[in-house]
Amino acid sequence: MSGVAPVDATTWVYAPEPSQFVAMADGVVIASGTEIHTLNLAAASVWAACEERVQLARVADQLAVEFSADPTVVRRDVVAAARGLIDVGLLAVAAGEVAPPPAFSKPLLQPAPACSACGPGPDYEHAVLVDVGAGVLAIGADDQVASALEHALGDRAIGRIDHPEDRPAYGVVLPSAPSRGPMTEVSRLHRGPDVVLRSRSPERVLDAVLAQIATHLIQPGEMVLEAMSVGRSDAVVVVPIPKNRVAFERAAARAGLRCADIPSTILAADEPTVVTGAAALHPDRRALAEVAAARHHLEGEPDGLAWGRYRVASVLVAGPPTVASVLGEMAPSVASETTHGDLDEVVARLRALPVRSGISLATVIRMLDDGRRAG
Amino acid sequence: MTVGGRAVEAMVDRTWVPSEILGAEGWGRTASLGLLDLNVAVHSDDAAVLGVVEELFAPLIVVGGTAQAVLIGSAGAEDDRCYFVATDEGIVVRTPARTIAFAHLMFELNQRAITHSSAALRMHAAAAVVDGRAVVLPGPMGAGKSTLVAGLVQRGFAYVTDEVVAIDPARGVVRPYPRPCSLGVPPAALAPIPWSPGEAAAQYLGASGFVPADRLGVPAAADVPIGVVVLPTYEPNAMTTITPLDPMALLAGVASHTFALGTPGTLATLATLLDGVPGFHLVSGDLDEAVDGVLDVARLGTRR
Repeated sequence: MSGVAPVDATTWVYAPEPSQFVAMADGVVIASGTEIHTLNLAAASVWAACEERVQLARVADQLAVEFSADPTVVRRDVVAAARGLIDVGLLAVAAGEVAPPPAFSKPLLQPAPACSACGPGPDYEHAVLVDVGAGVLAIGADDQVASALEHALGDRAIGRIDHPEDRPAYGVVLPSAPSRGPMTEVSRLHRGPDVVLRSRSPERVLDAVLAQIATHLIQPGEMVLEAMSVGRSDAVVVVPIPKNRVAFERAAARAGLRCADIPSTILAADEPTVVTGAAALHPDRRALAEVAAARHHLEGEPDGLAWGRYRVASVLVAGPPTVASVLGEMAPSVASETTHGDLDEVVARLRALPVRSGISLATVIRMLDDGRRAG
Repeated sequence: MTVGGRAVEAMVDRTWVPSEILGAEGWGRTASLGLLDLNVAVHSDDAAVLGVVEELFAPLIVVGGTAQAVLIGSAGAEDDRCYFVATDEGIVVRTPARTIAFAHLMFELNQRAITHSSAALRMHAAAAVVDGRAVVLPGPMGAGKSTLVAGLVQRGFAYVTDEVVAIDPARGVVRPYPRPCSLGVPPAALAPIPWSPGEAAAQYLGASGFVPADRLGVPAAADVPIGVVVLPTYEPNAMTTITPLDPMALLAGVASHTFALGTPGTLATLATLLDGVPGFHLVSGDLDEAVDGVLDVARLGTRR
């Protein structure tokens, strides 16, 4: 027994500072003490990515995105390359298997659970820490999704907690393969312990988590409704989230309509306008798209409404067409000043909305058509 | 035996004060030897060793200037004589064998040349000049550097050195350092070298095979740019092959034979110096074939 821990994708490594190195067209020449090493471009990429303490899985995910390569193959190659680099002393295994939680000065935001029957929620491999200005959101995810999220969010991703003991604010679960047994597991977005979105499409869940993050970054004059926008490229109707979202979306798709990916809508108050998606985050979604493509898909999920800003043709509520109904049926369960704002302001904004009573697809279509004629 | 009023035996056993020997009765010195950036004079109580040193280093003799002293002498009774080499830092070696003392003297002189020429980039290599460009032959001990460079010189190349190539990094030129070529037992493929040390000198040289550069051929006298780099490997009975090296392999190969590589910027400087220089790996067990191979690739260097 050598006592040396095996090296795999979960191993944390770092590159001790070499004496000198020269980057060349085909790789890198490194002088380390009296030793000279040459690394080809692939090995040099791994070495360079380990300048600071990092987990090999994360290195692999970054390189897979960078070189548009199969993440599974890249992970295997990265581990093999790392073993070689460790053997010659160009990489060192970092002490301790688990990274300490990153230090940050802002509070962790924890959306309040809306449902007490959901149990504690899933366990996550990692929690990606996202700076949303007023605080930090923890997003639970598996290793690949965590890396892709970090890539997508850029500087907003300020750290990662491995095997978080505390429940993250949001969590993403994307099955890799069809589940065994009679129940079909689909991709899910969790808010705390609650499931806020189930989808046959991993892409839509990943878009949804970005959109949820975006709701924590609303600008003055905007507010969040936990509602669905359904419509066309020129206008939408805002409705409470249907109990059977998939059935509603399929029916809407048959009528030539599309629904926003997310259960939350950011409403700009200066004019009846909704903002869907997370364009404000300017995310780089390539890594997320690659991860999503590799996960299990089920047929039958209509495409979502493209991210953007839409004119509101109408807001439909089940109750009377009042501000109280809008608040009661669409107020977000995320209890936070960031998303609610002052109640008087909220009420004033909601009064400006064209609220109608009665939720049906036929009403949605009529409101859109009326709005188009009026426009 | 006393020197300068003190017992040499006592000196070599205790703190060494070479100034007490310099100029002492019976001791003489060589002319100053210009070893790259260092001038050295060898002091000895034996005129034979002074003579052989001056013969060996004849191309490096300089006039004027101060010179550091390196001493080689003997002490003790005739039947219990020891030979020693000393510098101002103390005793380098004390041995009953003259040849061992002399080998240490040669090593010490070379080491001093290396350590006192830090402005130059220095590597463990031989080199020779053809058509105004240097063929640099880096390699470890036993790679055949000295034999190969001797073969090249006998084919008309000018001799730069067989041990330490010093490159001026600012001008990118190889500086001549025609120290004695250390051939050991010269291979039969080399033409006889017209030099035979006297009997007394031979007692110091032993089987070291040092040959004065100016007896081997023509010593290089001027700085020249690098034409080509060949990394030689001597393998008895091996078929001669000469393989091009890509720039990364060339840099790594040369760097592994470069002194003071820990000095910041050395690797980058080396990379700049080698930029565009053709590099090859030569494997051979036959001197004539090896020389032919180097002659072929040296033409590439002269076309640059």
